[in-house]
Amino acid sequence: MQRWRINIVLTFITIFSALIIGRLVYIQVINHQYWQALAQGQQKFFVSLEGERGEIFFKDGAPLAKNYSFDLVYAAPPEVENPEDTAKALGSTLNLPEDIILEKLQSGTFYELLKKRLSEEELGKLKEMNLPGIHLGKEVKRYYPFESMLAQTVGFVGGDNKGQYGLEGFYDDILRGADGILQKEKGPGGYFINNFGKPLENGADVVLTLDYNVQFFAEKLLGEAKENLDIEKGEIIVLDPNSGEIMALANFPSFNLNEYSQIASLDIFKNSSMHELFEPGSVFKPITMAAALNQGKITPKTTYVDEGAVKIGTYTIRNYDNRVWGERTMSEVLEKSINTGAVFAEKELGHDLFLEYVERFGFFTPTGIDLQGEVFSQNREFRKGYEINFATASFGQGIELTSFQLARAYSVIANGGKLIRPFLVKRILDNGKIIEVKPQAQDSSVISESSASQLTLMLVSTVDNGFSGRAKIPGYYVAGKTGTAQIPYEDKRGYYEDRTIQSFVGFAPALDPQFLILVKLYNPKARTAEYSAVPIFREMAKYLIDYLQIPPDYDK
Amino acid sequence: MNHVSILNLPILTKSLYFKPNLKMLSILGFILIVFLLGIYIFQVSSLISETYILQNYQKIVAQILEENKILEINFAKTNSLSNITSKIEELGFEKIDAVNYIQVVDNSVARKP
Repeated sequence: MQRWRINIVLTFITIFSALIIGRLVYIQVINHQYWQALAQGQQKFFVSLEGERGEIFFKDGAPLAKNYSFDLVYAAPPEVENPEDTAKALGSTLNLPEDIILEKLQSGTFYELLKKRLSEEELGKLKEMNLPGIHLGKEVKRYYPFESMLAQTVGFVGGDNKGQYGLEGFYDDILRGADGILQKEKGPGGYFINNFGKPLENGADVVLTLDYNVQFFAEKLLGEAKENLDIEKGEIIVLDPNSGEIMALANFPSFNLNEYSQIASLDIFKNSSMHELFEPGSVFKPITMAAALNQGKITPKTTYVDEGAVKIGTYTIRNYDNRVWGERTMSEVLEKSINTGAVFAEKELGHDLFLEYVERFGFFTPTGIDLQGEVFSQNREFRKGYEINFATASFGQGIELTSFQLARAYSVIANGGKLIRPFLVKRILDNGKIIEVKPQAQDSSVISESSASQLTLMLVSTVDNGFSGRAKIPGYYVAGKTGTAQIPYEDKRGYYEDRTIQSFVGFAPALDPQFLILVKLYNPKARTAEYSAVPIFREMAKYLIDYLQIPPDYDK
Repeated sequence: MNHVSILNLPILTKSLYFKPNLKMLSILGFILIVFLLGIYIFQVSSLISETYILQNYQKIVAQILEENKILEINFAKTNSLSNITSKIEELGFEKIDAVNYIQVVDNSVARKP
């Protein structure tokens, strides 16, 4: 009897076990993929993320562009208990129109962004209010601690996290973090226990050639030029003419990079040093002289007789202020900035060679600077071969170029004949790897070292004896040349009577240049560059001499 | 020729016979299940607590990193030349044109330049 009962129980247990085993075989062997996927769906999460954007630093390590976690507030409309009261409370706290907030709260969606970049005060109040359905969040965005400093050069990051303008635009691929998928696994208790997948690759940091102190001083000088000369726009470029390293690149006016979206006119985003073409005027004369000197067509002592005007076809070219200078050497042509003298040198050289040298000095090609959107002119009108075009181009009218092209051409004179590439990024720090950016110079010389030396001495004489005298710094030889160029009409032929671009390009110490400065001012309230750009150059050069501790060339 | 069946050996017939003690087995099985359950609960609870601690540390690290970034930015702003310039103006500092050295004799505390 007892045996019989046990047998029944055992039979039931066996059948039950067989059923369980059968079910387990069905779930774990036959249909395992389905259940595995279902379980993974509950336990694993995939998050698409982008590595953090690389940061930008000055040469000395001061941060220029950083990533910052900003607070934001958003609503979950279905959780909001009293939309009218909530909208009223939020309106006064966030300084937003109540009706817009109310519309969002009644939208019926699950997520409505209310405000980004909350201030400390707003954040504190929101935490205190603790409104149902109103949540706080964070978003990592670009932040520029120095706000308007170097605005056009740095550029900014747009809403799509893409760099725009300047360095942010040019180095976007390097600065941008790589896209990646992070796999997270939830363990018991609902806590994430593991992160799988390739670790996110952050973007590379870049260290610039720019010096914070020099940059600050250059921008300060432009600010003062606005006050004293009422300039419309202005720029200062400071670079090492031997390597092409840019030490400062100041633009006026500027804008706050952290509030770029509030700027009405996009024109202010342009970096006038490489986004705008201009007719340089007399500051171009040394280029004509360099070509003629290098070809042996003239020497600094070659003389000609100025009669105040040169007739070319139906056109008459005159000197500034209709002056007549009589017999003058080529050095004096630069000192007194005589237009007819430049025309003489160009004629001596010949049109074909002049054109060839203009090309060799890099005026028909971009400089290759590492900033987004560099422009350059093919100068088609000038290259048509009309005599008048060559004549006017010899003293810098009728030929278009950018400030960087001009600075690069002067670097050729300063460094003994080499065409360099101006650059802003000195080092790239890519996840522990340091990539040094090497200066680049063209192999073949544009002019010979002796021609460069002769021209340098002519430019020193221009500072010592000519209209550029205000650039003199006791104890140092300074080489440079002024330019006061008329501005052409935008929609017709001819030039404005009352609008000029006044500039000065110079380098020091002339015989062993450590820096080259280009100062360009749009329509300053001064007659010529002698009274506007030259004093600014002097201030900048004096500062650099002290800052770089350059020993004097001679006793004062 | 003798054929001896191995099954007929007396030594095997007795010693290989095993009568299962179901009661003992059930008790042992029960003890094992309780033991394994205990281990499972212990492991799960320690996993949860370790994950919690780890996540807490991760939160603290993230917070410190963020605070560090804020400090870096504030440091850069406070030490910026524009800030220093405005402080100089605020405090009415004068730019030095020429440095005049004064000779202070041993027995004096202060002297008019």
